[in-house]
Parts: sequence; structure tokens; C-alpha cells
Amino acid sequence: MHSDADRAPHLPSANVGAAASAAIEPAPPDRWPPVAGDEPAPATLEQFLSGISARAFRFAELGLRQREDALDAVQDAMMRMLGYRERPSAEWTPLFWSILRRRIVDVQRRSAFRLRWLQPATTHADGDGAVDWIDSGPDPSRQQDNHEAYARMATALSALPRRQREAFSLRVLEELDVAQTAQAMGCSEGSVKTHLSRARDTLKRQLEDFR
Amino acid sequence: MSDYKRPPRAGVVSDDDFDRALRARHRDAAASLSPRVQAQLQQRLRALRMPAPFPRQRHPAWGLALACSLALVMVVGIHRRATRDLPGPPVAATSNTDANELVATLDEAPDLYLWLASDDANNMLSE
Repeated sequence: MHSDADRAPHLPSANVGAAASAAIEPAPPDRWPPVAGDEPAPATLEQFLSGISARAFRFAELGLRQREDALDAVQDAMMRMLGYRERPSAEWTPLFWSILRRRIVDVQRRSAFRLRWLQPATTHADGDGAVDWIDSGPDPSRQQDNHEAYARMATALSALPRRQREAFSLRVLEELDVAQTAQAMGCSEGSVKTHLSRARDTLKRQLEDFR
Repeated sequence: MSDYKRPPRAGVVSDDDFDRALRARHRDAAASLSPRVQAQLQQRLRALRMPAPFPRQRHPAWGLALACSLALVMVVGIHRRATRDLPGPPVAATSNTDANELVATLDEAPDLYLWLASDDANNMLSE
């Protein structure tokens, strides 16, 4: 049986093994990764993957609620992306999110089979009971405020239906346009707008003080 | 193509402001990963540089199951063939052979029947 991630639409067969031998150039870890329309497109696929890895982890963390599962999903998505390095760089962003989204669905199905969802929703594999966050920083008080605010936001996002969470994350947080979001989600643009509207309504009710 | 956003009402945060606020939180979160997760992401990125030792086989169990099935079919086939080539039970073969030889002897010696019907045979029986 093929996994859901194997059914990415309109993707040619990937030569992952050969592509994996190429060099990876890590981006500076403190640099905010480029978003659509914000900075020029990365020159190489390795730069693209390095820049998107932190956001991809947050996206996977919202869907999987397990740190190790999220890391595995991101790594698997990056491995599969290496097979599409010949694609134009403009296609990388929706392609990557499409692959990662399908990978997350696969992991969710396996987790449901293992009855992991019986555990509390915010519990991580190492038992810290919160989203992953840096322990120290130049301004500990501000770090703590940001941590608590993101934890509330992550809890609200995780409680959304999967399609609504995907639409909001990709369209609003990742700033993909409607067409790219629809491509990444494998649905119509109208469906994206419907999911996004419902997600925003729910989130605004739960996060009234976010402004 | 943009999606529809409701016009803001008095005292209600607009969709754009709400989106902007959550996006800012998301950016903070992506820049605030723990050193452990950052290290793991970097390690997994570096792992992509390693050439695959051999092409990834997605379903190795299928190959193993196929090999086992072929071996089982060969064993069953060889066993059935060997069973078919074996001779029948030796005792039964011997009995059939003796009866056939007796009938053949009688068929080949009609004088025996003539002697049994003769007076010599009757005299021998009376003695």
C-alpha cells in the first residue's frame, strides 16, 4: 500500500538517492526564513530547505503535537523534495508544503492506530507539556510572554479541524496566495476560502486579545 | 487572487490586524526553537548530504514474501513429483505376480486338466 505522501499531484518520479548526495548549505539559524514576496527566491534547493525548516517544524508540530514525529515528518518531506530539485524554484514552496502536509496526515493515521490520541493534546514526547521554545534569551520576561502567547495560539490552532488549520497556516502564517494554498492542500480555491473563513472566525473567538 | 475579508466593525479587530498579529507570533515562534530542536534540524539537514548506500526499498516485505512463496511452491512440486514416481506396495505386486504366473501355467499346460479327468486321478484319490 502506498502512503499518502506518495500521491503528491503532478509530481514526476523522484530520484531521491542521487539527489541526496548534493551539498546542503545551512542558513544562519537566527535568520527569519524568506516568505513569499518578502525576499528573493533561494538560489538552490538546499538554501530553500534550510530556510524553511524552522517554519516546517512549527507547522508539523501543530498537526502532530509530538516533537519527534514533527522532526521526522520534516526530514522526510525534505528528503522527498530533493528529488524535485530540477523543478523551477517558483514551484518549490507549494510543492514542499504539499509533501509535508501529506506526510503529516500519514503520521497522524499511524498515531491514531497506536491510540496516541488518547494522551493529552499538548503533551510532548519528552513530557514537557508545552510547545518547543528556547529556554533563555536576551530578554527573559519578553521571551516568557511570547512563549505563553504562542502556546495559546498553538492550542487554538491544534484544536481546529485539520483542513481549517492547514488553510489558515498556509494562507495566513506562511503567506501563500490562494492558488498556492489550494495546490498545497489539493483542493479548489473556493474550498481554501471556506476553510480559511471558518478557521479565522473560530480563532478570533478564542484569541480575542490578539491584535 | 485574494480571499474575502469582512470589513471591520467598531471595536472589533479587523481580519488583517488579526492575521498580522498571529503571523508575528508565528515568526517569533519559528525564531525561538530550542537549541535541541535547532540542532536536530541541522543534523537532519546534514544527513541529506549523505549519499544513500543503496536505493531505498519501500516494501522489502513483499520481496521476502515472494521468495518464500516460490520456495514453498518448489518444495511442494518436488515432493509431489517424487511421490508420483515411487513403485506400488511390494506385497500387492508379489501377489498379483504369483496369480498371473499360475494362470499362465494352466493356460500353457492343458494336459493337467486332461489328467485330472482321467481314471488315474480318480484312482489316486480313492487310494
